Amino acid sequence: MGETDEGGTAVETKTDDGTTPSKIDAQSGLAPAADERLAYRGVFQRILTRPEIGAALGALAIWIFFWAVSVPFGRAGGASSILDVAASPLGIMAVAVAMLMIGGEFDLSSGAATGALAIVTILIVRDVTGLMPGGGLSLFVALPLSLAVALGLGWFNGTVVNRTGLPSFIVTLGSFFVLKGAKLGFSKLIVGQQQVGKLDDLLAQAVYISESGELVVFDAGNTVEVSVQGQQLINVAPEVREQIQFNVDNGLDPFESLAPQVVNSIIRPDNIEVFTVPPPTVDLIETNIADGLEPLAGVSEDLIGVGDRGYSFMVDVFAAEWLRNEHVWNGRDWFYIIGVVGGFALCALAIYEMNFRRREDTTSSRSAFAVLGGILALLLGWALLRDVARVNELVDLADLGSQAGLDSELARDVLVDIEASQVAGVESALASELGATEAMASAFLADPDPSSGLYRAFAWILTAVGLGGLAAGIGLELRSTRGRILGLITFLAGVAVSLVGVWRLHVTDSTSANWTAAIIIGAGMAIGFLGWGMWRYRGRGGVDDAFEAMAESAAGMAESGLTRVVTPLVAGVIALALSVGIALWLNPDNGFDLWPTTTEKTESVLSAQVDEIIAGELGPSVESRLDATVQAEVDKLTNREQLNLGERGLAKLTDAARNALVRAEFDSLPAAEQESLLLDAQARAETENPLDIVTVTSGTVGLVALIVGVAVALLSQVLNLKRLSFMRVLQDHGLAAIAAGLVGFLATYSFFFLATEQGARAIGFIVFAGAGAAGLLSAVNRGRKHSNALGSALLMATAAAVMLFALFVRSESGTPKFRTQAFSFLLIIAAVMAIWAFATLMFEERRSFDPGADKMGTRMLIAGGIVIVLGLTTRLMWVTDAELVAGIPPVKFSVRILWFLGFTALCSWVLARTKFGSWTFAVGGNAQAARQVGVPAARTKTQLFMLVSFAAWLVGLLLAFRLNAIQASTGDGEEFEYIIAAVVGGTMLTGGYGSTIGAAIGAFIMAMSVQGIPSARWNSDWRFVFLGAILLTSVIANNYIKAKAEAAR
Amino acid sequence: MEEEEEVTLAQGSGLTFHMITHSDDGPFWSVVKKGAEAAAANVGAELVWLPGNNDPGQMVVDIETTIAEGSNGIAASLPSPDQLIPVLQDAVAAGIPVYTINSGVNDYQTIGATTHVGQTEFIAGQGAGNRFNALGATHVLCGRQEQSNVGLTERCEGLADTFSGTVTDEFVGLDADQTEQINGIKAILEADESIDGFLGVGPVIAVNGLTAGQDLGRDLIIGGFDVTPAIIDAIEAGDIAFTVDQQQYLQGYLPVILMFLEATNQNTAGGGLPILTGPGFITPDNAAAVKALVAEGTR
Repeated sequence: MGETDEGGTAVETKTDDGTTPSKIDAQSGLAPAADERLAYRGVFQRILTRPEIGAALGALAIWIFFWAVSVPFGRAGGASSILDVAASPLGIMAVAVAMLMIGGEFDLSSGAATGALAIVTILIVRDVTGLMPGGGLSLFVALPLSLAVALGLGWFNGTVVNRTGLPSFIVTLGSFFVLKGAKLGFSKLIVGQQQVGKLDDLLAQAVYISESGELVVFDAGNTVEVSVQGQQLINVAPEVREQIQFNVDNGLDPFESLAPQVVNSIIRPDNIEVFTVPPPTVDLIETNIADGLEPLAGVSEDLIGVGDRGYSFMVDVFAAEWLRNEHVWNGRDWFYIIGVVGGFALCALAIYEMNFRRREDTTSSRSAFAVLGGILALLLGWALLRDVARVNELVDLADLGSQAGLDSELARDVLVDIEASQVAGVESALASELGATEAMASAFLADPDPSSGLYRAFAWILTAVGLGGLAAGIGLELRSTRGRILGLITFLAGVAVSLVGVWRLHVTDSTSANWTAAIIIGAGMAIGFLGWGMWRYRGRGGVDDAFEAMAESAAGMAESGLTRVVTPLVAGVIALALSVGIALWLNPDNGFDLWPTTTEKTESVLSAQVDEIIAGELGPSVESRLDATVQAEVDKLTNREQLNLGERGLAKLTDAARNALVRAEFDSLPAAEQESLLLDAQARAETENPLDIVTVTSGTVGLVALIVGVAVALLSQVLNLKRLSFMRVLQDHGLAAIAAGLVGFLATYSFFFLATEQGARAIGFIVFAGAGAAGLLSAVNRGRKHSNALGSALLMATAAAVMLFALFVRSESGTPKFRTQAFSFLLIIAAVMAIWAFATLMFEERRSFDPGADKMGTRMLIAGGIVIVLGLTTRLMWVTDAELVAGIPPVKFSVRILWFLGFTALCSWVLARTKFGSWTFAVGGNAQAARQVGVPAARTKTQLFMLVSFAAWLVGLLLAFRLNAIQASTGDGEEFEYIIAAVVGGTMLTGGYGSTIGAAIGAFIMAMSVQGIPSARWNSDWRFVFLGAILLTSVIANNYIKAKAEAAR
Repeated sequence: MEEEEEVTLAQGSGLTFHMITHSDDGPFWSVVKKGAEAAAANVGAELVWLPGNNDPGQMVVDIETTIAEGSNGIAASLPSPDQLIPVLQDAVAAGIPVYTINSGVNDYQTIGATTHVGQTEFIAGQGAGNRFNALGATHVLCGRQEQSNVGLTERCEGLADTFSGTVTDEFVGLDADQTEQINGIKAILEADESIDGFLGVGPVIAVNGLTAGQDLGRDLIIGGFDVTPAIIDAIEAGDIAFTVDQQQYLQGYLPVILMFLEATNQNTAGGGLPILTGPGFITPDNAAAVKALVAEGTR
């Protein structure tokens, strides 16, 4: 790529009368650069021209949107579902398909191939044909075989396309039908069904035949060996082992709370032989025993003790799962906060680095990295050490408790209380109440175990690295001029002040103290950024000059009118005002009644209310027995289940018990009384508690809004209001945007039957707030072109608007996530904007290339991104005890996500850094030209087809080990989703342009859409309308942003 | 059936019956075929099995040929009524007794067929609703694996008709992408905590509903439609409460017997109403027995 660019440039320059671009610039400021490819482009412009950036912004917008309208979407469970859908099959295939599309070809057989290759693998490995006595092949042999089949398929597709010169569309359409048919045909021919499975029949199950002739099967799969009280117990599931350990440690009977069948199956008499067989054989032995035959009659010798032929290993590789609720790390949140905040700070500094002009005397980037890395490592080390210290304290407490010998659960509750209220030095006061054993303490400290040596070592190493980095950075700078070291010191002081603010925020709880802390943080950030700038960038000549410039430009603005700036500014302000209006209008507390409602009840609502009324009537009489019933239910649970029950679980249990009691009470009444009660309840349900169900009448409102919007637009055309500059402004931009927003909002609410008013409120608010922000930022951008100072002033104003907005959100919002999370986030954004506005006034922006600074900026961006991801991952992967006590639903993450990330990283590296990657772009751009410069075009394309079929093989395995059985229809028709994901991610259908990271983001967008719609409880009938709208919007936005960025100068 | 009786009937018959369906000879239709063959053998009649492979055009040709050759009875399925009604009316006009099977419950009277043997999706859904009532569910999610398949929608509507609690009816993702399907179900379950039952209107989606519920730690009452080894295993293990079975063996067996009785004894069963072969239910009680029968190919 680089080579062609330079070649093109050379030609262009020659045709330009021999004058160099810089000379033209010097002669007349207005003339464009001779060759725009040589013109310097600002940092945002450079970032926005990346193919994947539109998709990334779209993904962020969609996430925020669904986060706002649906509660489960933003939780760990929602994240796990999005990652799951995005990873496999969609993401992996989209990345491979994007590579192929960049290479200029399509593969319509890719969807069907995923299912086909999974079926091939299972057929090889399963003893389904009866042709291979002793079972099919080991997975270690089967996988390479099916991989060979996969690569053969890719090779076939590629070769046919190359040899015949036919469009790959046609060729792979043929392979698609062949695969689709073959899947069905072979499945039915060989196993007589439309699905092939089950893979987990390979599992080797440990069994023995007891003295009484019964077959005893151990828990298969993930088991551990234990021995208790001299008896050897083998193959016990980890949770069973945990329960036994818990019992033993607490001096209970080892098998307390374990079901009798579990107890029977885990005690193996020493003199009986244990052997392993696959599950179907277990069934056969069982049937034999039931029929009174010899247990092993008809069981092939080869199947006894055969092992699992690689199944357990492969399950770990392809389908391992991480059950979040089983992994506790109470220190998680500090790690998360430091990661996310530190990562964003790194990214922000990277933008500074790429935007501002460096001081002439700046040293290499080494000291900057040392300082930044040092701060981050120091903070993380501190977080871990804090955890260690806290744990030490708790262990001490637990010891005290065990001496006192009190009940363990009480002790646990006390420990949690201590943790929550941060009470220090209460040992002596609580010693008499505490009864935790050491085992309890270790359960409390499960998973990332701060009491372990490794953890401590890691904490100290991180801290030491942090200190070392800081020292090295400062040391490097000490040898330099005074101005620079002053900047560095200011920077570090700013960081320190921010940290003090964060600490204040953490330890205080009152609103005013929180505000003080927020102000301290803001001040710290400002000082830090100022210091960073003083340290590294060339100044503009002081604040006074800047204000002078601002005054000058304000005067200039008054002269020239500046409609281009005023237009988006006005539109933005109006949109913001509308968003505020909608939030106020739809605020349930304000008792709005503009919205037409109905009180008509459906059958199901009625019957539910009848139940409720009856429960209310009979409730008091059963209340006395309720506690005992609930207690009886709780006693049925195991200790561990009781621990995990939480408040929510208990509430559910209580509800169920109350319902059962009420039902019993109702049934015990005489029939006449039952009837009168029922009739009475029905009559009351009809009249009481009118419902607020929004009817279709609100659709009329949407329609009216649409008509009014169109009418106003038409009228303004007819009356030629364009002459009035303000009307022109509205007409050109604002009015169109506002009308579109209004119609879109009302249409979404009324026609698509959004489940909640709160959801509608959030949508309206976000749509208009987003439009307002876009308008203001557009004004900033245009203002900056007029003069730097005007841009800064507008940005300051925007920052102020965002801050006001944050306050509004905080006071008016109905949900905690808006009140706290959105509020904090908006405040941070406002601070970043204000500081940026300030910095652009203070420091000189870069107008020429500086490869060194760009390289450093890129590295900081990547590092920042990684740190943010690490922070988020930490939060997703671990729970805290507080969460468990509150009773959160379980969440799973699977190894499929790692496969997806790994595959994307690999493909991106290949595309960006290797010869093969360059060839891919070349053959996709112009295969003929590529061939003429020596690129092996045919080979490259064939290899790309093989890459796609490799991906299909991988996805097939991931599916097979997840689902155990593969339907013949698996993957049929999905190939278009892969192509769509690639296109959404910025890959061009014509080839030669695109990005694998973009395709991965495209997969995320699709996954968020298909998850978000049911999460928000929207009517699934409209699902594809939403999906289509989201996809169209993201593609159009992507193109628009790219075109704008390319065209801007 | 006793040995002697079978022999007498076989001697007296010499009848030929035609079964013309849109069969693809897949797992479903191969059971129908087995039923028809067993019935024909029992009454000693000759059975001509003409599978249309989902091509109504082929079926029209087959029916026309059959009318021309003559037959003692035609049993036909009606995947696309508009094409098939006229030609079956011709058969009735030619004096051949006609029965509709599997699909065609709305049109058999128009044709003049004696009766219809099959299951209606709505009634099957109603049966599932009664099951959920008995199992104590209060809010059932009816998950569909196709967005606009009338049959699947009718199953959910039937459920809503008889079920006493709330029914949420949603499309949750295609069978072709089970990852999406599982997570689609999860999303709805997470968004609505009151859901305590799941009806998957196909065998694959029912098992995926089980997976979704287990992932979230929710103990759902789960029902399914149709029969696969996976769903029977889950029923046997007690994870799925029931699956609705059309008992398609009857859709092959009964028409042959009915045609035989009409031809030999002038009996017309059904009294103008359709004869329903379902819904039958496979529950933990009979799962093991049905599993063995599935292996034999009669369920």
